[in-house]
This record gives sequence, C-alpha cells and structure tokens, in this order.
Amino acid sequence: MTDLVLTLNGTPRTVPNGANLTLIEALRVLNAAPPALCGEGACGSCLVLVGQEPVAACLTLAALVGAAPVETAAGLADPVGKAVRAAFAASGADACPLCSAGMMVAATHALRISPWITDDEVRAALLGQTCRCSGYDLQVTAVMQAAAALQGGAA
Amino acid sequence: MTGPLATAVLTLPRAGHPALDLAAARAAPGVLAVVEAPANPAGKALPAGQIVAALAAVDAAALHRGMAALALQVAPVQPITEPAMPNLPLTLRATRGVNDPLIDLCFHAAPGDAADGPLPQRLAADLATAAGVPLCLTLTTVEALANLPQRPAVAVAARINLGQNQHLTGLDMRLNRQATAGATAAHPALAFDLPLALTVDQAETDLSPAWAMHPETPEPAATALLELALQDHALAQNLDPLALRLATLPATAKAPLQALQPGWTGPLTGEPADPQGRLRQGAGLAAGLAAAVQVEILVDTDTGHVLMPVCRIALSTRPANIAAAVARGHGLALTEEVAIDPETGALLADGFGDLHLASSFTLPDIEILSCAAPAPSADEITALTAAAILTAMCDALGQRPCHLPMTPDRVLALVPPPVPTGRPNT
Repeated sequence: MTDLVLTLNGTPRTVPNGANLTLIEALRVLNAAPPALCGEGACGSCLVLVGQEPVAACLTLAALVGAAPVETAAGLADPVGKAVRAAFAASGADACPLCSAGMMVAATHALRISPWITDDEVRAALLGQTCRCSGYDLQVTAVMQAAAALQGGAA
Repeated sequence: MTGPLATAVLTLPRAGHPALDLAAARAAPGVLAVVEAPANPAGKALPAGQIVAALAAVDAAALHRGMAALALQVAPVQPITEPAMPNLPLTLRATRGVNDPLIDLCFHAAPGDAADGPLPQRLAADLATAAGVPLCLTLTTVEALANLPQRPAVAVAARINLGQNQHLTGLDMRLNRQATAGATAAHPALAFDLPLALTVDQAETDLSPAWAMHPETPEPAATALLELALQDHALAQNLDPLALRLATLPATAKAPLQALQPGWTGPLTGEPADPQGRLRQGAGLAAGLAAAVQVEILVDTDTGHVLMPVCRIALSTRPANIAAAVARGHGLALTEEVAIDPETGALLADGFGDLHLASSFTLPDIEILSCAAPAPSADEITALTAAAILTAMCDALGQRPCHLPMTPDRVLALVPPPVPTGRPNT
C-alpha cells in the first residue's frame, strides 16, 4: 500500500494507502468529498476539476491525478468560482445538497473559459449534471447571473 | 462474518434530530451487544425480514475475531406528507475498509435531513463509534431522486359517455393499484368534477409509506386515460381535439383551454418532419380545472425516442417551479421507468441507467399563458404534462399508448410497419 499526495484546493494532502483508491474515495478519506450519488459517472454530482478539467471523481483513479491540482466545489476560491457560488447562494440554486456541488463545478469550468456565455452554452455545460427537482431553470439563471457579474467586473 | 444477531428499530422523531443512543453499544467491551431500541409510538413493530442495515462490529483491537453483527432498521414515526417534498428514502452506504463490501443503510429523512445534513452524519458517527473502526459514508439517492407520490403500480380502465353536443356526461373508471398496507381506497383526484362511477381495487404490499400517493394528487394514469379517450373520440369522429374538449368539458374547465386556443395549430396526425419521414409530429392536449397543457412532440420512428419542442401551459398562478413540474411529467410519460418490488417495496432500478432523468436540454422553453382559473398545484401540472405527451403520441402514431412511461421500446411497438417499397429480391 502506497500513500498518495493530492493537491486539493491548493494544499498538498496525503492520503494514506491511497494508491488504489478512486478519487472520490481518496477525497472521502480527506473528508472533502462531494456527494456521489450514482457511483457510475451518470449523475455528475461528484464532478471535480483536475488540472482545470472537469472529471467524475467516482470514475477517476486517484493515482492517475498525479500532481494536477484538484478543485472541489468547496474550494472554488478564484473570482469565477466565488461569483458562481454567490449567484447560486443568492438564487437558492445551492439549496440541494445532492446536485449543487457538481453544478457549481461545471458552471465554474464553463465561465473560466469565457464569461460571455449564452443560455444554450450554459445548458450544454450542465448537460452532465442531473437534477431531480428544479427543471434546470434555476441553475441556468444562477449561472447567467454569475456571468453577468463577471462581465461587469471584466469591463 | 456472522449473520445479524439482533434487529433494532430506531425510531426517528418527525422534527429535530434524534439521539441515536448507542451508548450501550459503545460501553460494551469487545463484541457489540444487542442494542435496545426505543419503543415505537405506533406500538407496531416493523415487519420482520426488513433488515436494511447490517453492521459488523469488531473487538477493541479492531481485529476480526469474535465478531458480531448488528442489524438496524430505521423508520419515521409517521409518514411525512408535505406534497412539495415527500420524505426522502435515502440509502446510506457504509464500509469498514477499502476491501470490505459496502453496507447499505436505509432510513427516511425529513427534508432538512437530506444527504449531508446532521442526521446522516450523526448516524455515521454513531455507527462508527459502535463498530470501533472508521466508516466511510456515502449516499446513494436514486431512490430519493425517483421519489414521486404516484410511483406505485396502477392499472386503469375507463369508459366515457358522451351525450348530446359531445357533452361528457359520465365516466366509468376502474383502478387497480398497489398501495401500502392499511391504506384507504381513496378516490383519485381527477382534473375536474364529473359524474363518476369509480371502482378502486388495491393490492396491499409492504410499500414504504413514502411511496403512498398523496390523496390530493391527481392520478396521472387516470388523467392520461381520460385525455386519451377524448383523443380517440376526436380521431374517430374527425373532430378537432381542442374543439371537442371545449364542447365536452364542464364550463368551469374551459378558461385554460380557451387561453391555449390562439396558438393551437390543430392535430398534426403524424405529419413527417423530415424528408425521409423518420420523425413524426404530434400535438397533444390535457385540460384540468386549473390549467391546460399543450405539447408538440417529434417521435423518432427508428429509435423510439421522443423530443418535445413545444410546451404551452395556460394557468392563473404560476407554481414556484413550473419547469420541475413539467420535467416530472415528461419523465413520467417517457423516461422514468420505476419498478418497485411488490414484496419488499424496494426500488428495482439500480442506477441512472435504468432511470433516465431529464437533462438540461430535455425541456423546451415553456410558454405560459394567463387565464382566469384557480391556482394549480405542481402535481396537477405534472399529471397534465404526462397526459398531454401521451395524447400527442397518439396523434403522431395513430395508436393509443397504454403504458407510463412510454420508453423507446414501447414507442417502437406502436410504430406502424413501413410500407414495403421497391422490388423484392428474387
């Protein structure tokens, strides 16, 4: 068994015997795991950013992450992540503990590419995220609000 | 590993967070002792055999010697009946280590207890203390996400009577449905008041109270069947479905339909939407006292998939989250295949592969039209959306769909076989 070092939200963290874990299992050991609903990559709830790319933590081997920085919804601390978290909180889109973490990660990834984003592009960004309760309008509106805030900041 | 030694019923009060008192278990040296459970106020023990959690306990040295096992069963004091958010059956998954099998725990939580709330965390912490080893706890919520009040199986048969001027004068309906043990055979709430001869047969099962249908909820299958009967009649008599409903329905149910009238293009009768004739168009309607829903769909006759490019809803007051209500109706009509084990009440779908939920692109922009009518409930919109989609399918394929949901295989079974063209091989 080999320990594993992950750069989690900017901080190096050691996962004891972590070499044979999936990323979601390793994050659970670190008490930093997003919810994982399906465990088969279908629901998007465990989405995290690895080296700025969104991946399903339940399908990713922790050992393959290497030195790439891992960001969870709780660690989105840059201006884009903060704007997304603020917009989700203001609109109530973060009310659901099951889907909102993955939604925020997906939205942050999309807005980091460009805050000048259309409604359809937001829907495309959220395509892998499953929500039972909202019909997605709530989240799309929140992401558009975050985009507007970022555009205002950038202008 | 030995089998469960004892069953403990932990009764969770409706409000607040219970003290899951496993102090006795913690104090016991070595092997975990039988946990005394608080009395169930209902005075009724849960049925034997419903062991939903089994936890292996190890001795103080955390070695696998002299192990005992604890079986836990967790139930609410009373079913939670808020229609907006019924109690969520959450499955907790615990494991003692990387190589050990997962242990499933199932309990019913109040809305505030969902997922990462204090109750599951407390439960996990107490179980970990009891076991003497760290526990990983994850949540699987397919059941929570699938939880809709109308899920128990229901079969409906109906006959409508139309009097002079196509006025709907009566309705014979027979329902046969799964119900929780001891449930009263409540009449389903239909969209409007009609002279109704209704028979309800209930097959009692060990369904969780969470699956029981809320008595105020319009029964989607019954709503859809009534709309399909009207659709059949319109097709047979070559009448416009909206005009027929305006002539047929009670005067009180007409305002939402009249609001839909300006944008109603009439039946599309399976008109092809592409040059190859693969996509068939259909328009559907469903009307209630408080709302009416119009949808247009495209049925892919090669794959059985259904797209819904148009959704118009006439109502007076918009429910808080109308997109969610439409999404549920869409899932109910087309994608969310939810089978429940009649013996145990357990959900048989084991992942989102079996249970397709709407994605961010599934729904069209919903056009809302205002009319003077009572405020609809979200459940009513859900039932009407599902009914409208089925009538649209009837319009597109010329055959009456008989199942909820109409998954692609069931849609394909309705597609008429292609007319052979060209010269056969000789």
